[in-house]
Amino acid sequence: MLGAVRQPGDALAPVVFYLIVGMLFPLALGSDPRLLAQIGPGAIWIAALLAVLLSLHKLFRSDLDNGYLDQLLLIPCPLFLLIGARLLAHWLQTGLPMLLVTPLLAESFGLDYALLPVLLAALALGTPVLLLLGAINEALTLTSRGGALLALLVLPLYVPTLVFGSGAVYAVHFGESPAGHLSLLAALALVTLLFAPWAVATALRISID
Amino acid sequence: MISTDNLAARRGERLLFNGVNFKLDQGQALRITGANGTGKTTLLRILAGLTEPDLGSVKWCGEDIRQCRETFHQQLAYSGHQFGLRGELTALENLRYLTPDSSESSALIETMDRVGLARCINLPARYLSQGQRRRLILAGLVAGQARCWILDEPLAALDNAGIEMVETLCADHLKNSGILIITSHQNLSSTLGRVAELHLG
Repeated sequence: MLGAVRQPGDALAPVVFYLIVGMLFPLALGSDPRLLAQIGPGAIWIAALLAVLLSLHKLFRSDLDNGYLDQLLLIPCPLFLLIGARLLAHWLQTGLPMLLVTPLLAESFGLDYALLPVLLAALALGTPVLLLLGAINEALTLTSRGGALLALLVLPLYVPTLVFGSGAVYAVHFGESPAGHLSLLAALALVTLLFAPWAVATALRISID
Repeated sequence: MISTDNLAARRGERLLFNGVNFKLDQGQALRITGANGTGKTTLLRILAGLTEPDLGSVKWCGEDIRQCRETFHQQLAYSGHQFGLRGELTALENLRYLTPDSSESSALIETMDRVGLARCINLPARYLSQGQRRRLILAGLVAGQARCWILDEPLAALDNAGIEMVETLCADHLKNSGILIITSHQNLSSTLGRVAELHLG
């Protein structure tokens, strides 16, 4: 079975991007600790979203160009399984490292340590959703020329994840339970996990045609 | 075992071909000829199940390939204009991806030796020349043991020794009851025996 594909060097770019964007906020917004603590969760989520989008950029483009996509479609195994495995590998090399460096970002915003578990849980649930939705977008826009503009079309889909994700952290910040937000995120994750690989597979078949 | 039923395909507004009908049994080969732009690659991709025809169908053992996709693809090896190799993986790793069914490294290495790539086994694929990449694809064909080979311009970028090797491998494949569909601008030598021809355009 197809395993994770190692892309040394390329893999770290989104994680570094995540760190840099995250760090830019405190630098640009001054050092008022209350302000930073307030915008922290939201800013981290935005950085995460952008980093995931970046990592997906041209996800399948090089595969299309060098004929690998053809061979992928010819493997006698349901395509959505292969895609699922590929995306899982992608998350492991992008999302997981992002989770690992999140404490650094939280520190730079001066976030309360109590917020960290919720932040990590929300990101762990939310980054796969962003990844899966982004992959669908990449597959659909593979053979069209308006790449960047089409990406904007998918942006509204990311909003619920962003809202619930940062909402969960803010809930804890204000002393409420994040359970509601987290369970909605979990539901989102489950739904996208179930249908996204199939959607990507179908989109790829159409793009290749 | 592979047959077509009134295939037709269009590119944009232009009709590429119409009413393509043929049937190939084990041990038979078909060569598709035609000038550039007449739809040879499109026809091969339709036969491989990568592209949908505008009309008609392709059948594998009597069943439409859209119904028996997995069975058909298990028996199929397709080699297109681009090689489908991942540059950052070594030649051997690429070969393993191309032939997911075989697990013996030693068998793969032996195949690489057979096509003349013994020195490139652990070389990242992006350092291989065009001719070497072509040979790697051929190694994949041989190691994969597929019943049906669909090859788009397999002789491109090969020197005379390479061309001879391809023809020998194809002849062996046909002797082992394989099916071969090939496009080639060059004439194939007689090592392949009788080859049916289909001219497009």
